Amino acid sequence: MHEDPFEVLRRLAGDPVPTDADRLRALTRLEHAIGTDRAPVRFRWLTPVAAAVAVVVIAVGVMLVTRPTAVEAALGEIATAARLATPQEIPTGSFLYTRTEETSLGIPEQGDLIGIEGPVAYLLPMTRQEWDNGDFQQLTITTYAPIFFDPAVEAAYYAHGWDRRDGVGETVTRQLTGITNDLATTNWPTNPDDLKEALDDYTSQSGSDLPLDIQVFHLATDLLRATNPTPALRSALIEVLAQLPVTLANQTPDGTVTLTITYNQPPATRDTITLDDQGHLIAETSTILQAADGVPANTNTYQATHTIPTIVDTLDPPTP
Amino acid sequence: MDGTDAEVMEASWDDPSVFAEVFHRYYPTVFAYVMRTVGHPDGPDVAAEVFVEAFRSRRRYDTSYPSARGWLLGIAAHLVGTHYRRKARLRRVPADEAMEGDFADEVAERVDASRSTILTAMGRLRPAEREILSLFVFADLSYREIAQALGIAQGTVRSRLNRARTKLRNLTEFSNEHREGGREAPDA
Repeated sequence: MHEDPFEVLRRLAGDPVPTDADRLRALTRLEHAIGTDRAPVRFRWLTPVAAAVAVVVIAVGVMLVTRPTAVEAALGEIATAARLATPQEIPTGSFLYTRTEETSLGIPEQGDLIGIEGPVAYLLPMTRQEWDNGDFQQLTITTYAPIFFDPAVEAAYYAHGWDRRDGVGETVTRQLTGITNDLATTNWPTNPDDLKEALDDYTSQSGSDLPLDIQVFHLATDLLRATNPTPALRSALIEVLAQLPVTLANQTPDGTVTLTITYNQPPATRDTITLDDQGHLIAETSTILQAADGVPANTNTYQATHTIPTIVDTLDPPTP
Repeated sequence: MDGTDAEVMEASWDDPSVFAEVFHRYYPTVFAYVMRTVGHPDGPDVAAEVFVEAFRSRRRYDTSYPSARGWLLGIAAHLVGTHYRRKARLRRVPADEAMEGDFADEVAERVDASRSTILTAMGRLRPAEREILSLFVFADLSYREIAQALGIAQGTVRSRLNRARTKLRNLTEFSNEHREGGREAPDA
């Protein structure tokens, strides 16, 4: 084979031309899509009765749609948008800025809070701001007053000075260099099937007892949160999520999608993640469905909202 | 309507029916690309789906690009990849093997052995390389247009294409040598 392989391929491919029937079928499908497009202006003319009928029809339609189809369709749109996004490159001297409002569970070791019998637990809210340019990272963390499930635990917490230990009411800034983020430096494949295989391999070495799909869900979420992936990788991550046993919990008209996945930690736990229409992770929760370790059932043991990463030129918090 | 693709796209945000103009401008281009990569019997369906997907995504079109050709072919490339992955899942075989088989089947009756060798070799490329190669070879997109279509850097396009070309050459040369060796073996 001495010819340029590209030239051989070009010649082999020929010049396919659509028939009139092909064109008509394709145009009919497009016109159907155009005809069923959401048109907010027209809704203003709907009477309340018609609107109620529409709601019922939509609700029945949603019930009839099988879960994989709904999830795949919703995530397919997001994956396409993510893939077509402009790559975000950080110019020299600039930083990628993200702000996270989060609340996470604190469970002190047994005996740390003297005088309290049984398990102790509380939720600790904080704001986390991060400036990152690859070689340098600045973290500013503000910690707020905890939320308690038991007044006795609250009294003991303050009596033993745990608020100072947790830095409650304080804002701390740390500057870090030479950070190596294993997730960010790994050369992840951008083909969804190859990526799924790589994520399976990565998680299989974790030693966790959780099912592989759950670990992959957590790892994909970590990658979306912590690495500001390229458009191709973000798109592939979304497609991997569509292969997992996730449920479509919500989809808003602006394209935002919320997914849930349930598993037995133990206790039984339900995680949710919310993606915007471009595949950015904008919110996540982890909820225990059974009481455990002093935490009531249906408590969000982790809850976070994330801003979409933006390029900034200074290490000052951007004006809201 | 007249005007650039970007103007048509923008007009379709308020009047969806205008989007049909995009179909009339690019259906033959998209059809040819999809048929070259997917072939019969699924190609026409995939080509039709490209415009439905593009219509749903029209508000995300970057109107600083006057031509929608690269954007549409990027969507087409993505749907072609999805098509092969779906087929692979149905058959319970890896996507690469699914594509390799389809290419071999598609060309078996109309090309000679050396030509089917190169198509089989194409099926063995990494999906990302194949996606770029197909846009370059079958859609005649430039490096810049491929970068726009797939949301990657032009340098990445160049390096992946070079890698794909080298791999194709190596795979086809190996295959030819192997076949020639096989014929000579009985006489040895």
